Amino acid sequence: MTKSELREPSFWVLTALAAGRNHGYALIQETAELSSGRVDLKVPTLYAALDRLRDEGLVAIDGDEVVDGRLRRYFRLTDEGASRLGAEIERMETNVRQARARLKLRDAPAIGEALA
Amino acid sequence: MSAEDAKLVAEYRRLIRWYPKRWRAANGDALLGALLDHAEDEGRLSPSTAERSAIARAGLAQRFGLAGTSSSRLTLSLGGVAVILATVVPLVGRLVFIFPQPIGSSWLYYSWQPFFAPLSTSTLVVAFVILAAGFRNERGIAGMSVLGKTSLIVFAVAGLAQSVTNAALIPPLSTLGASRWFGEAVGDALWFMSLLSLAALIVASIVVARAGVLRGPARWALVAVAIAIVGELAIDEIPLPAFGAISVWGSPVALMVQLATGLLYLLSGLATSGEPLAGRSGSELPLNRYASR
Repeated sequence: MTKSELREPSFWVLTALAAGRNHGYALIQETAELSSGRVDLKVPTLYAALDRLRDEGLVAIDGDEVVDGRLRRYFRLTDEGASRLGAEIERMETNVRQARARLKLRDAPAIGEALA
Repeated sequence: MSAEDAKLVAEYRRLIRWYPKRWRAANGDALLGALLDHAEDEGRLSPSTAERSAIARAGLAQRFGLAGTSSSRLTLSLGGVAVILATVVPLVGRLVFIFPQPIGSSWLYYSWQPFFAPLSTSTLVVAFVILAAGFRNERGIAGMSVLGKTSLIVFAVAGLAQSVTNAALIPPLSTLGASRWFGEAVGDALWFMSLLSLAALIVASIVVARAGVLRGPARWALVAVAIAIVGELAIDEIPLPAFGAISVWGSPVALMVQLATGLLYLLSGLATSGEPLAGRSGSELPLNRYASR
């Protein structure tokens, strides 16, 4: 995988963290909400993704809290993570622009024929 | 903590043992906390089946250093199973002959023996085509390398051609008293196929190790198979009785390494989920906070 590509779950995890620090299970809820239910992460899968994002320096641990006897680990987006997310958004926007332009070309002859 | 909560915690703790100790020490409590939050939110009193499977896969990925193979999940699982089957078939064939021959059934007892090798090598062809080409648009173990893909397939097909020649051509030659010239030509062809198969395996093993699709020990499994085969061929050349026994038993080391390769590929496939799994366990968190409760 090249540096400019992020898998969808990682993209949504970074997006969820862009708004501020958050803990494991809240991230699962937020990624599901942001992706309109397309991304339904299991807890171990989220932790595997977070491990990888930490390895890449895109997220960092931002402290632990104990709530109702349960440990909650908080994560935050790093500066590198923010710039990577920005680059990914840019890439997606370019893709959308290109695809839209091509679709317009496809529609153009049909419009021409209709007018004729 | 209620008895039900304690039971759920104990169950999750047991499942988390899929992860290596070092990872558990660093991340186990955080993972457990999130799993409990999830279970509570869904009103569950026990781990879901999907959760059990996800924990096992992620834990295995950590144990075997199999991070990053997610784009080849089915390829590795199916290819691994096929390699295991291809290895087990001839082993089972040999084990059967341990049992005494039933009275009056000698033709039946031995008649299926020649089919073991072609059956095994045919299965190996299926395995290596899957591993080389990738299953349903997945990446093969040689990545994008055409040389690697070709070598993997040539290795398996040359092995199949060899075993079919051995099984179908050699027995009639000896019984029909074929000409010496034809016998030598078949011998040369077998020698050429062995050489081609081995050369293809060596090239394939190097390309696969460099391709970066496999991680951990699975990455080096084919290299180990190549070394085992070359080693046994070299030992065959040493004129000592102790080494002679190895060829009588038919490459047990190479077969075991091949079996281990199949298992490693299968584990690599099973250990991956839809998201790339990563491998560092470092963290500053103290050990199991729930352990004392």
